[in-house]
Amino acid sequence: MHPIANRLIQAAVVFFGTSLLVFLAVFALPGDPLGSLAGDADLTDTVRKNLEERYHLDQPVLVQYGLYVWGLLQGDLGTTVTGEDVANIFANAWPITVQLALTAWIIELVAGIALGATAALRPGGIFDRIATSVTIVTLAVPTFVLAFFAQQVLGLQLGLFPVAGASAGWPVAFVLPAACIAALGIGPIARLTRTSVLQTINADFVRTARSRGITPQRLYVRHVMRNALVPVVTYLGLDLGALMGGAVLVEGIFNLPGVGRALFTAVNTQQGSVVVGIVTAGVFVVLVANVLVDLLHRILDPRISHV
Amino acid sequence: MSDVALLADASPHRSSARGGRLARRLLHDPEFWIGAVIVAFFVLITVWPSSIAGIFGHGDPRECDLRFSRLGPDANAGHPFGYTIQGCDLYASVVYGAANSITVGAVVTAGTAIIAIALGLFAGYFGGWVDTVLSRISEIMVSVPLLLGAVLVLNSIETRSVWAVSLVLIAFSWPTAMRVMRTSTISVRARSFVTASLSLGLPTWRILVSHVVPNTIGPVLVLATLQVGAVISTEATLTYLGIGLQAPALSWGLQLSQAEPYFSSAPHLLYFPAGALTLAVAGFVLLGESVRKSGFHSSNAA
Repeated sequence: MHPIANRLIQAAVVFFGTSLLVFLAVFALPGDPLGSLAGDADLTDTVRKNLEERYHLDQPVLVQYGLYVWGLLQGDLGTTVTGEDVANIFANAWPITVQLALTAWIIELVAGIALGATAALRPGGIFDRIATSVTIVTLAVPTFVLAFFAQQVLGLQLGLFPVAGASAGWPVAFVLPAACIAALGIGPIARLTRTSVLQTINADFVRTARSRGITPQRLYVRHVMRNALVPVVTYLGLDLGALMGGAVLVEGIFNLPGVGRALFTAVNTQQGSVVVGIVTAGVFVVLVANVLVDLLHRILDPRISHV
Repeated sequence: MSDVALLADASPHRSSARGGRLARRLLHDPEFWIGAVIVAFFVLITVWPSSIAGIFGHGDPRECDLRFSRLGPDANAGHPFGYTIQGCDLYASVVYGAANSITVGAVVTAGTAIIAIALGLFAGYFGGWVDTVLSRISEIMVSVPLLLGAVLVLNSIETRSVWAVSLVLIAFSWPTAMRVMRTSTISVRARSFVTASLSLGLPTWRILVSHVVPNTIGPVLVLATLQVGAVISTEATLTYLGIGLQAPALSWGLQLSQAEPYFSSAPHLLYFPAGALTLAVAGFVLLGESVRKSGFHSSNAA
């Protein structure tokens, strides 16, 4: 079988495994979503029975999962018990989170690679030491603590950025929360880039290129960086999952109406279909990123032919 | 996931160290000493918080007076960190808050390492369907972003003790280390000393315990030391989000989440718990970094 087809099938298996896991976990959540519909009053037996039938709550869990997947394949994300369309909730929340995660991604990509590549120019030099210290600091400060400080100092006291909400639009409202998410990724990316550049710089093909007399700039960009960035690309792809997690947290602190906040609202109000939808979508993004990373590998380094 | 990148060697051209040289290299590393002192301090206040909680005269974090609610630091009155929302001594609360964080960090790291070593060993050594099943399960677990998964599971648990939070964190963190263990086991399995012990007729468990494990656990142990800090920070995050530890437990995450509305009027409620949390995480990160730099994880491999 073609390796790419193989890779896609693998991803599909993982996707369905994960969504089943998420579905079962939500099923185990305590509480009675139908009961909460009626508020303080009790639902009559007939109404309850009707609702159970409508949402297939009278069926076994696996049948419910099957029905859910069947709907998903037809593009139906389901409705909440209050009648709201899950696809609707998504349409409102996704753009915010995607903007936030992508901004964070670009910040950690640019800052991390720049820091690592510069540090590798002179190992053990002053800039290398600074880069190492920055790495450790970014690893040591928890994201939400960083977000609090950024909000207090840069937002409230200095007034440089809006403190909360997305109304100021991109980029003003997103830079500060995105930087807080990105901070955690800068250290590992810088280190990975540095290590990888140092390894590549001693490779035979770099020596050959240098002996051909090409300029150092061209050597560094075309020969060293292109090869050294392969592991960095892997990391950047895999890191999308962590960025989504970070977004969940930071959206709460900066009051951005994205997927993370929708998730918390849904968990607290027992909107199972929203929770399953959001987590499944998150998993989907991670899996797609992984497949793309594999494909990108082949382009960056044609020697890679295994799956 | 980030752990894979963390393992990247800082100095790829350094030859691997063994035994005594490794210890000597660690002892000459200032990072190791700074990290070790910080970690030792936090372990001390975990096991014996009263030893330093009372040095300013108010050693009981449960002794509160609402009249002093949210008052700022006052060193003369014996409250150098100020008062909490309930009017308790913030210094004592921060000191007693260490125990839960450090316990979760230690339990999760140990649990993750044990599961990862066992499953990675089985998957790598036996191969075949054992490997297929375990690898697929690890892929599924790794595709759920930790925070999303933890929200899902922890939210369905009514009373969340330190142990419940630890278990959930273990459930979502073992795959990375398991994959590292699996890879190194596969490479060790093919080496001649394993073939030799096979042909000598050693039972499988003997081969695993005395030949494979000692040669493969290096990278996993380095990962584990790097992980402690991240776990402590995750626990505080979950607690801050309201799905980790619950009041009346004393924890930095809880102190921060309760004080969030008052940060601008009473910033000491932010600075001191956040500072303690960051210092603890930094201590473990420095310690893990120095172990990684010493080349411990390559000292046993080929």
